[in-house]
Amino acid sequence: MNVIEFKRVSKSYGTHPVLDDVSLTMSRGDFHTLIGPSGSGKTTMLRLINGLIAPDSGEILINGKDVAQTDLIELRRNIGYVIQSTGLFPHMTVLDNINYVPSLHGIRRAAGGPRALELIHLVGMEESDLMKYPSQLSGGQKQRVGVARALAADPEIILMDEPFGAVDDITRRMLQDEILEIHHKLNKTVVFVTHDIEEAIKLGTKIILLNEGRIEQIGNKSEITFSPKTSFVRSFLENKGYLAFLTTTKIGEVCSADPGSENALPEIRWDTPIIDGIRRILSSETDAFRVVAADGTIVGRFDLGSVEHGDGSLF
Amino acid sequence: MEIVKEILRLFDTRTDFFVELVIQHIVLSGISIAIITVIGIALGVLISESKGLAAIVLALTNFFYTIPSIALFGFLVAISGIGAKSAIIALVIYGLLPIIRNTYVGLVEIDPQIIDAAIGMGSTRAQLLQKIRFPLALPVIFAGFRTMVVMTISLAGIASFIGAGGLGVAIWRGITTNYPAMTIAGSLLVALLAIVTDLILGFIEKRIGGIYHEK
Repeated sequence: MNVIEFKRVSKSYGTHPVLDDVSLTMSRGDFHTLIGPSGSGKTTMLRLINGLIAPDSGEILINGKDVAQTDLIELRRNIGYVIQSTGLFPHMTVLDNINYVPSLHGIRRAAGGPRALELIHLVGMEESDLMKYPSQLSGGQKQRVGVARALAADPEIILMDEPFGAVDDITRRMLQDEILEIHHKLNKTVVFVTHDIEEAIKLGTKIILLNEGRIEQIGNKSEITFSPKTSFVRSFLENKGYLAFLTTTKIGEVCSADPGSENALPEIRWDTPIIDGIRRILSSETDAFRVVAADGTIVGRFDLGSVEHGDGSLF
Repeated sequence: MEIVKEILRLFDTRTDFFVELVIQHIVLSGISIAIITVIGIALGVLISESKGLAAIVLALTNFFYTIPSIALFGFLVAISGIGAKSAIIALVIYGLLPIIRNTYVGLVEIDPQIIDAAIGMGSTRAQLLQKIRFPLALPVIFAGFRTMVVMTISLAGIASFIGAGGLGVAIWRGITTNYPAMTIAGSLLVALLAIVTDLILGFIEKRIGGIYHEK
């Protein structure tokens, strides 16, 4: 089911075209990462979805309805929006920040409290953090509050514009893991802008690669990594895409479902990153592994060939 | 030391006279301050929506600010006559600049990312102003308010020249009757009024500003 659809959308600022005849569909529950060089139109696409900018031509449909024909205020309240940390309101407590969209509907702080508490726990923070001001939070905590705030009105779609761009590497990885977990739990349709290849490949179930206002390729991470459609995709990703694929993909996602008949194979957990499996194979420890689930049941077989030609995901 | 004793004696013997002048002074400044605050903030909000309008209004208030006060009072007497009405008009014209400018600057200098987030989350224009822009601009607006209040209290001392009453009466009487103690007594009270008000507003300003700003 298509939640968001771009139909031949073009947009330019002055004489400079930012989006050039873009058409695509985004389906419910997918985690879409938009990636491309600066000025490729990623943020423009995001801002077209919640009507912060209007297209020069073409239309954007949300659940089949043209954004241009929609009450934008109502539309935006039903779309979560996360930007870099400065987007938190510095004069409001964490509680009031999270309760912002409900408050626009007239829901007061006290009524919004239980929801805010639920969300602050969902993003891994404490109840006592609700009374803090953004200036009292670390960069990572600010981002968590930003995510909680976007979820407050239980929107179907969440837009994120480089939300983890301003935090250090370790915090960013943690936030990425958490957003993945939240996505698994809540199954929202996410549109996530990033310029970090690893982030795009790690998070995206659909990766949309843009260049100069055009879509170069849309696909899941193995399609993007192993079957680049254009020379641009190949040169943009270089080895980074490949490396990101190896570090962010779990063995269970690519191993063959047939465990094979060899008895002497060493075992490996299915949630191990592929790159660790490869490292052990290359160090001549073994040619292949028997893949086991967390509870020890044998679920498949992994060798170097699995990386590219896996039978599909066990997750 | 003789003059200090003389001033103290004046306060002691003419208490009623000074109390009445202080009350007149407070009423005169208070009315002006109320009018300035309402008009100033309204204009500041209005011009924050339009750069072109902002340039015109700010240039105009700047121009008013440069007119010598005595000249303006004299000019207004010819139009609106002698008394409190002219004095209040003059005080309002002078007081507008700091509050309009600070309201304007406070509103337009908010981090655009914050505005973007608020709009992107579905705030109406009115909600954006009421919940985000105005509270964030408040420390800057309040600083302008404080400047304006102290300025108005001081300037109201000249209002007696056009028959509006207030502590200027004592100053004026001291000058015309060559009685320095009376002049100083009046001036002291004006200064005291301004300083006490400034201290109170300064205290409030600190409390407003404290929670808002990032470390």
